[in-house]
Amino acid sequence: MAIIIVSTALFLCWIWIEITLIVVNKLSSHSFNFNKNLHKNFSWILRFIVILMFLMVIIYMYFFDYGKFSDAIQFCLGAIR
Amino acid sequence: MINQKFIPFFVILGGSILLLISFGIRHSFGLYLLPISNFLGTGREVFGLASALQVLMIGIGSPLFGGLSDKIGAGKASFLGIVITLLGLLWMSNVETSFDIIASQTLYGLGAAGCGTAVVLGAVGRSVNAENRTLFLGIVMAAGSFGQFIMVPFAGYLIEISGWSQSLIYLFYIASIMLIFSFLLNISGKSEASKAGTNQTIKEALKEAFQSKSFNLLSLGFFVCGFHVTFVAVHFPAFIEDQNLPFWVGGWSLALIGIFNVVGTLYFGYLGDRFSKKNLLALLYFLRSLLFFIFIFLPKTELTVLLFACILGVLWLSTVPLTSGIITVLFGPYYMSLLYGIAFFSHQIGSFFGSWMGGRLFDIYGSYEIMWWCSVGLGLIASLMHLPIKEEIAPRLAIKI
Repeated sequence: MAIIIVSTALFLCWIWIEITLIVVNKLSSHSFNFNKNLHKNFSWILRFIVILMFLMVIIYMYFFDYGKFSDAIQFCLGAIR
Repeated sequence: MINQKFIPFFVILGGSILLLISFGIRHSFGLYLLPISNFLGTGREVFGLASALQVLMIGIGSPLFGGLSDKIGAGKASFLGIVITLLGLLWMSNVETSFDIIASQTLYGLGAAGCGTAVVLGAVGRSVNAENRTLFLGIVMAAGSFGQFIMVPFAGYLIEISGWSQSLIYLFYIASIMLIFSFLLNISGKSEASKAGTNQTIKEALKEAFQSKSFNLLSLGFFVCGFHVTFVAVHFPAFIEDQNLPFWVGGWSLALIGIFNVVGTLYFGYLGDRFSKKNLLALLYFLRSLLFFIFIFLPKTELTVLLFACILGVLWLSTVPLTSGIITVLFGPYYMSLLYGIAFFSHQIGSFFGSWMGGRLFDIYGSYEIMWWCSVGLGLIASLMHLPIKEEIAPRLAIKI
């Protein structure tokens, strides 16, 4: 349940950011130094960062349990044990 | 001899690593509140006072290290800051009395100013070209935000597996990595942009800044940024607990603020090169006020709290690239570290009041409602204060051009 609510909040906020990206595109398109490709690339970088960091948090929240994590390290590197 | 083309890359890399580690470690200290307070048997007040002094020392140290950086070079100034930081960490890992924790945190605060935003952003501002300066400042700040995001859980993990004292020794080793990267900041002095305004003395630079209405308004506005950010960072988890929301909401709220902080800092840095920076700052403070205002009236459910955290994350440290960008526009990049350090001092005083007033008003009235209203009011005032700022270069620089 938690992950659905968190994803909804993230999605709603992202809609707001997408709207602002469109507005920025419209407002800047008449500017002489506006680079449409740069804007497009920048938008994709932002999307990539959000998805990557969201996945990192999910991994941390659900799999980075202290006890389990140290067990996993000991299991993978049996020499430690 | 380093090719001019590669100077921005090396300085941005060095600055990003410095902010990533120093921001990350500094924001991990909250995790030590309970273990150190329990070890000393002093209650939370001593650690709280130590943290408040650390925040103030960062503010006091920023213009000092900024001036030093502008005179002897960002690399040497940050190296000195890192050494003080390391001493602070080492002392903190061996605390025995209340004095030890207060003194070690104060020492750490002074050192953190040396490897913090004033020195790093000044070096970056001097190294990159004016067209994309705010974006690059945003990239370095985003690295600092990312540091908070990854270092805090990592420090928690270190405390869990090795205890608070040993974990501080590990943080000492991690912090020492900054020594290597501080050398990259020295290259900023070799850039073409850094040579503009070299015939001005520090005294003249300070006089020029304090006589500038735009700089004074910018610094006052930055006070509000510190007030907002520290109030939320210190008191928001407790506020969530007061609303009887599930325990996972607190952790996820901070994580979402962290994610969107990186996005927001980059985004506003990008926008700062395309639109008026002072208008963006006015918009940013207005949006913060609007957000706090709506949040006061919204029912506090899991979704509304998390959505609030997401939007606040976008507006969190986005002020930094814009504020530092305006300072460079007004006075040129040469004394940027010093002048940003002064504006940052105002930010840290705001931080002190945000943290202290939040606790004080809660103790008196039993709720944070007055603090939310104060945040709304201050945000609106800051928004209005940015409108008269003139993004014009100083006359002495205009004559040169």
